[in-house]
Amino acid sequence: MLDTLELTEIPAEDLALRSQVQTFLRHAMPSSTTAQRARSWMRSDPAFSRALAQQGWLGLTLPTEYGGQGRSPFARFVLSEELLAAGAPVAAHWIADRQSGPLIARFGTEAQRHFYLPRICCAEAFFCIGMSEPGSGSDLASIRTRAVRTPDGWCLNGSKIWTTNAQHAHYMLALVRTSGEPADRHQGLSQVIIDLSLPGVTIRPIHDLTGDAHFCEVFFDQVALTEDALIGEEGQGWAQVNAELAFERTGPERLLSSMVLAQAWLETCRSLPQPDVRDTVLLGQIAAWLTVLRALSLALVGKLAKGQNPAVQAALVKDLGTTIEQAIPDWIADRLGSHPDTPVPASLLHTLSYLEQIAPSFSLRGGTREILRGIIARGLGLR
Amino acid sequence: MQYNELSAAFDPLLHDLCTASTLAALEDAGAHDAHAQLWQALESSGFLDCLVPEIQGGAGLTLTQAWGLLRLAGYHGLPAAFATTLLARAWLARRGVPPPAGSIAIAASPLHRAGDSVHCTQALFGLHAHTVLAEDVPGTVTLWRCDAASERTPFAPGSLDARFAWREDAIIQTVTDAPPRTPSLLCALASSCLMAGAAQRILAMSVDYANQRQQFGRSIGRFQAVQQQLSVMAQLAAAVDMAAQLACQEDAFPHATTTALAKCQASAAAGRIADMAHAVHGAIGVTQEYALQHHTRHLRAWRRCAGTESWWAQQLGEHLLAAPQLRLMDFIQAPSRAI
Repeated sequence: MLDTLELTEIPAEDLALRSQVQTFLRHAMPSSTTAQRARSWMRSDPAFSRALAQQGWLGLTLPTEYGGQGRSPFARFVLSEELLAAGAPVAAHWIADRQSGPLIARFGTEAQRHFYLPRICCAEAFFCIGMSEPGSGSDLASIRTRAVRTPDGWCLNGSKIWTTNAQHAHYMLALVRTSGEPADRHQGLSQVIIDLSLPGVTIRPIHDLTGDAHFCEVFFDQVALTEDALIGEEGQGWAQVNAELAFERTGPERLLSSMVLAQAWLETCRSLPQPDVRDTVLLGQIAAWLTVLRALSLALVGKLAKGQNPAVQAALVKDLGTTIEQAIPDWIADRLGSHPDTPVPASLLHTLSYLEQIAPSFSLRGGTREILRGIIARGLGLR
Repeated sequence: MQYNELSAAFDPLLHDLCTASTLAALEDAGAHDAHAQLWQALESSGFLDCLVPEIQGGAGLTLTQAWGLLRLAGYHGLPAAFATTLLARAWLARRGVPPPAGSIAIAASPLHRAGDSVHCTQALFGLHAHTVLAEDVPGTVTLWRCDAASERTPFAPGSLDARFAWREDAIIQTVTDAPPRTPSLLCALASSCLMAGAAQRILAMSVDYANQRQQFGRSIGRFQAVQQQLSVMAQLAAAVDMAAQLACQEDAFPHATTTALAKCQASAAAGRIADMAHAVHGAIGVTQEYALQHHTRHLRAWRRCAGTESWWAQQLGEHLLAAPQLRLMDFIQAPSRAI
């Protein structure tokens, strides 16, 4: 059975960050529509990321000797929560800050740390994640992109797909095969950092059903990587990727994707002369779910702060969180449509439409629902 | 389940007390001797006064420290007014009212009067309790002697709750200036914690069963369809557990907002958890002989007690609508302080 996730308090020194972030956002948040704010960590604004960096809020948890602030995971949770609740455009630096930076700090050489981490902290190095390939989605171990040793380093061939914001990123932290064949599964995989400005790299954005183009196809044709492109140990890519996924799955972005919509709908409900009791019930239901999910997410942060790797619990909280994130637009759509003669404010409707369309992706990104449930089942001791 | 020292001390006692035969026997309103024996063991354990301040003879623990006891009572399906007595004694003591001796059931909704009778439609764990704590006229909480009741009937078949009718002279004590709906909130708090425990028990039984039961030459737990159901059960059980923890943070319990939140979550999950457990167990799960049914019946009964998820969600929604400056984010960050 799984350990209980225990209610966890944010330490006072980290909680103090909240009002600073709120004050900053009041004057630094670029003007935007509600539907734009609903995109939050899918919306890239390098100038905004630089403004955050000037506050010292990029690489908050990275060691100070590499330009970070040496703060706890709780501090990053407080910051993330405020940025996401406000719908701030954080996509440019989000991946570097959330997982590439911590991974480089953990597995990188001294030279790699000194090169990348200060740049991440100043918003000069934006990262994307190279995992999925055209033939490898949930079955990640079957990837075919290959880096072959050369006298000067590596020669990279292959392609990645569904790479979020590759078109805005400077680097890709990719999982590639460095020895063996796809049939060797977890053996022979390594992680490399690819400078996306190198010759032979082609990035093609893919338009999604909302009209946005946040994910991309990335092609590698005889890309020459230097020796130090390898991050961590050759052949240890699978273990490293799994450590990286724990960072990816524990954040508050796994429950707040519909927060901007829920807040906008709450304001619409408040403006009605007479509340419909069914609206009132749904408001309470959404508030109850989000409160509990947030407490569960914070309990995971507590485990990370203690140096644990709560991989199974992270899968559990992510699956539940995305279930509710996906349900919220559906619930609100039904409430708004239950009075078909009452017009819906345009900004609320645009926000709702965006989330209705994009919500299926919430349980795809960062590991599909079906894969996560398999991880949870193993954690429960099913055999 | 993770134990603090308190829970670790209570668990073996409950393990011994809550056998399948005791659980079955105490659903009979006439099981006086079996109940007396069970209650005596609980009194001797000393846990019943753990929330009473030390100066009044208790252990002076906070609900945050002691909530695991309530969860354990739910886990083992303890068929006595343990959770309600623990909370009622603490609430009374904090108001300077010496609690009555014995076990205390709590009325899920306010009393009503008809002719010269006072009626209570559902007292949580009233079937064998000594006293009922109830909301009388708004703001007044009264205590009633069960053995002086003109009527005491099981709330529903197999229920540990009861309906009561009294004459006015069966009243033991009156507490004035109580916050509105206190007994209903205490019922919601107790049942939320009990449901957190019951959910863990049902999940554990279902995982064990899925590992043991063989079909098509392998354990049914190896089938993805079964794994996915148990994985969802684990998620719901974790949510109920966390919601109960949130409601047990306040020293001045029951807190209206966090209790509403806990009961809303627990009630919303209860039926789904019970249904999935029965789906995994197959026909054996709906037999009287197999213990699962005690726990799933508890879960469904507690779901309804003092209001289902719709009622408590409406309470939360009304709070949110009434606070025009409050962001949803402020609420979820600090539900007990936001309103």
